[in-house]
Amino acid sequence: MNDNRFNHHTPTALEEQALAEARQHFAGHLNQFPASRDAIRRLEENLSRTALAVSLTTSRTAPSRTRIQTDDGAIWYKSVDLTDSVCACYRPTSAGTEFAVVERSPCSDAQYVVARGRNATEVLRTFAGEQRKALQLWTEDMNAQVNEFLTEKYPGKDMSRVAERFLHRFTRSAHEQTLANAHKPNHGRRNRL
Amino acid sequence: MDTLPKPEETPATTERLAYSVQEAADLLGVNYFSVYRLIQRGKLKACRALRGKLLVPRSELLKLLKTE
Repeated sequence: MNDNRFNHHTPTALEEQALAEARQHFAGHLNQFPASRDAIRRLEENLSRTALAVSLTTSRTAPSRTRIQTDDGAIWYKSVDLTDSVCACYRPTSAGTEFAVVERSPCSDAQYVVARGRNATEVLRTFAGEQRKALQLWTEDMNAQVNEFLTEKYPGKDMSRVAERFLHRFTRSAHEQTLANAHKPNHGRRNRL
Repeated sequence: MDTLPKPEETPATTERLAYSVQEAADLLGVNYFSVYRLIQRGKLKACRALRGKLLVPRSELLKLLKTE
């Protein structure tokens, strides 16, 4: 089931040490990545339900609407919070209701449109795709950073299996980890990296 | 005997030109994913160093803070 070749080869003491050091060095990434990834998964799993909730809010009357102005000058009405810095929005136009996902910059109050369109589900799907791309960017950068870290720490040594194992752990989903823990045998066996 | 005064290091010579995403996130006071999102959305320009590691130029961080 697990095709990681580290599992078919007992790691050397040096590899174990290198992996521990990498984990310690990139602890912040290891801690933050799962939360971001799981938030995207929840969004994807609840896409239809959220889209329905967004569509229903378009019938709100003026006093209960919250106006949002994006950096392109457009005015939107807030619909549903997707994360603490992202919300779904809508606005009536002559061609019908337009939907958007608006993100607040982490550095200021500036807000910008991430995805927009006439179909709430499609807009949310586009946004989820954009989030996935950002996550992929993170994974690629992590790969490069870990390889650089290991190359500088262990010059001349082949640490490719350590980097591979680190990335495997990094991208492994919380769901997979839960399943793996549930199926972990109780009898004593040397823990593999 | 008089010694030659040491040339003072100006901020321009000591400031780094670029930062890793982690460093950029720390400087901006945001989490890592926020920086990757900014890069992915084209709001923050980054370049790739040797081995593909992302580097955020200092000038882009300043630009981000000034324009927003």
